[in-house]
Amino acid sequence: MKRLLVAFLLVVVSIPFMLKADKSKPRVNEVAPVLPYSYSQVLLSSPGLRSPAADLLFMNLCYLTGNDVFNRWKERKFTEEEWKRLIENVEVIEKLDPYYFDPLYYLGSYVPWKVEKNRELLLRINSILLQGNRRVKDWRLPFFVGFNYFYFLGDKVKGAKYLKLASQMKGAPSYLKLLVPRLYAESGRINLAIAVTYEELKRAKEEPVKKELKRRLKALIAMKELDRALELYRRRFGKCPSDLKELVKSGIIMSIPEDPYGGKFYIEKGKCSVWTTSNLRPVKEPTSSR
Amino acid sequence: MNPFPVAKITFEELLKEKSFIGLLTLEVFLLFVSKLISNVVAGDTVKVAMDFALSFFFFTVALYSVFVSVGSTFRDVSDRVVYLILSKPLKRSDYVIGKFLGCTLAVALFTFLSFFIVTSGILTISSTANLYVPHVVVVERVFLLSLLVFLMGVFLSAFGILFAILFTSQVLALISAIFLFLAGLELSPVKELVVSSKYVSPVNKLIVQIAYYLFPNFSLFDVKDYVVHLAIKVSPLFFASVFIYSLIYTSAVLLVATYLFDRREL
Amino acid sequence: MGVLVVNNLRKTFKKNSLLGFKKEEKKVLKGISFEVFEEIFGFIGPNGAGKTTTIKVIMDFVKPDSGEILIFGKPNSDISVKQNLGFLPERPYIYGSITGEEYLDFCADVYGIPYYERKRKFAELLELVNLTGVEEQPISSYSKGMVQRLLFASTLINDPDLLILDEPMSGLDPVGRNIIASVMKMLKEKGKAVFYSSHIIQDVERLSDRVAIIVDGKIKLLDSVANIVQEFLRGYVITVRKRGSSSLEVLKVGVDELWQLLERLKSEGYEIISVEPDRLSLEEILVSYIQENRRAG
Repeated sequence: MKRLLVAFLLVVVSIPFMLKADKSKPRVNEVAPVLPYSYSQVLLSSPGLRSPAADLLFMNLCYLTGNDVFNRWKERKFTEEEWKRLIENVEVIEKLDPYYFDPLYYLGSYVPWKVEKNRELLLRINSILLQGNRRVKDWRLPFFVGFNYFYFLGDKVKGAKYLKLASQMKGAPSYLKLLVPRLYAESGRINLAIAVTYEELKRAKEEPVKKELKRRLKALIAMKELDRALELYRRRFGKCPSDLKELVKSGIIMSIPEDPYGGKFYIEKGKCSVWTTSNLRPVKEPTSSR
Repeated sequence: MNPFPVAKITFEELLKEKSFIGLLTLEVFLLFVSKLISNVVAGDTVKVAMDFALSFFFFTVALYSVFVSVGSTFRDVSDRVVYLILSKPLKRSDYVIGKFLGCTLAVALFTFLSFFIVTSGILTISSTANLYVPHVVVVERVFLLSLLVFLMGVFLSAFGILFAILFTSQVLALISAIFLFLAGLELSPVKELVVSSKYVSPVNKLIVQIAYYLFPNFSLFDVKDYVVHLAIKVSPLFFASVFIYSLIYTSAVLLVATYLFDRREL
Repeated sequence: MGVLVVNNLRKTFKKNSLLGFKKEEKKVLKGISFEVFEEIFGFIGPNGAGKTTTIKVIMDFVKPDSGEILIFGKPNSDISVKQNLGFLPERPYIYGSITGEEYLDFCADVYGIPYYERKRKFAELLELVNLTGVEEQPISSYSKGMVQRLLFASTLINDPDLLILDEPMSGLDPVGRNIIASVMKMLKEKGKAVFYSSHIIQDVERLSDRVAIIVDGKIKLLDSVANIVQEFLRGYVITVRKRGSSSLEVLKVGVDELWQLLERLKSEGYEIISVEPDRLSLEEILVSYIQENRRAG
């Protein structure tokens, strides 16, 4: 009994040293970079465990993306190179577990918004999605492909082709069928965006995600209203207004709606369409106390 | 030929071993682990839970068959039980075959109970999961997987007995059997990667090809994906050929084991 | 011809060193021959003399380099000879998790004893070794002596004509030794042969009809216990008391002079209390052989 007490005391005595050592221990940078995984290495290091390996890779990917979304890394966002690696990792996951739907969904619904300027990556995403669609029969995959062509790549013909493909698949919502022909007629970027956002909102479970989607929906609807007002203005005056205030002055709208992301709507001169300074991402609000 | 008394007493002994109930308990515990892991992932949590639960099931049965066959055979020799048995009118091959049949029975019971544990676990997870598109679990597919896993366990038991006879150290026998199993799982991926690679010399490709043909191919028994993804279809021919393959190969391993045991000095 | 015939047995154990260059050889048996009839045959010798190896060779667990073993006139590799054989290894062990009855069932399965006979047979055997009532407990709850008695009893399940026992007495208390000794005697009376090795020499002396002494892989002495006792008789020790006196006197006398001395003592009015043989015990004989061997080696 005495010996046990002494042993316990010794452990207690050792604690301050452990704490001291832990404090002065050299630390790795807390920013976790996106690592490129190789298919053959993952495959060989997990005998008989292809699917769990794919699951773990996807978890890792979600974790990293979450850090990016919620600004856990303070001043840092993913670089273009890291987005490229993320896309390649999804490709590895699909090779390991070719019937896994969720990574494809992630790739189609979220990633294009982040790499919208990079045609090469967008095309790569589309090819992965189409590759996946050979096995995973889900209407959302061609829907994403069509959306990408339409919204980011500006290829309306291909976009409509894949949207049509999606609308014909099992489980596709009925409004998609209505949407496709109208999209053929109109330029329809914002309409499409609203449709996608609405679809995501229906699927979302977690409250913060829902809130985010609702905010985007609100912004998109505001932009759609403004676009319609611009169209009216152009029809009435035969030219594009130089500022949104002119729309209010001419009495087409009552007031300029607020961007829920904290930016300001403005007119893109060349295209005569509405966009926002926030780029649909939360703007760091100038501290209101100032 | 009279291997049945040895089979019976082996089975009786193995059922009362701690490893039997211990590994079954571990399996229940691992089901909870699978559920926990699946909570972390976005999207289809049932898919991820099944991936992990079935992998744990697969490896627990494999471990059980190796432990049981190597442990039981090795203990017989080192604890001199084999003297008691072989002093009776039994051939040495009767002993080896009997040992194998006893292990087969124990593995069968273990797989069957594991099947119940895993199936009820998966069904509970899928019925409590909160998904927009429910992940359907087809129990028949889990049962077919269990059948293949059982065949694999039998196959591994034969190897376990062979290694217990071949090696004079139990740890060495256990490690060899486990490495053989892992290597047998890697065989298909390695062949797939090597043959399609531009950087591998033809000689090495040939070596890999030969190994692929001769080495026991344990990845055949791994049809977890078939259980998880209902889109995958498998023909009955696959199950039939896996059955025949493991039957023939297991007999070959047992033949070698009896040959070695006949020549072994006890 | 004897029930068990061992003819010129030789066995060398080879030990490969790690790299396999130098082979160490150890000659364990250097030409062993003996024959066992329907009797109790004791096999004694110091540790490492080759007793257990001889028994392993007889049981076909180990192949000899040369030599011949016949059991019931057939070579020992013939499985059918084991139908009429009982064998108990040294320090026997059986799985602790099964019960005594399950083990007896296993033995009965091997010999094809029908189920309706088993209950009676098991009761008989357990009675014989004084284990009645424990058959349904797991063997792990038995003491070491109980396990040994159970396994000894199980060797009798097929009513064997030849019983081979390796150190059956070691690890047993005096009661256990007595039980086994009495069973051995009973078997001999039924006309069975018992071949056993032991290092408890008093038991061997008491029990055996014939003994073989093995030292360093060779049989040094093979004879009946009666003959050995005769041969190694040095004389007698006579204890006497003079009539009327209370003190005892001890006299030693040679083998041939016993009767003369007795006559003389009688005529001189001595009372004879006891006459005991003064001889080398088997143990002393064994020790003398070992010492002789050591000097030679």
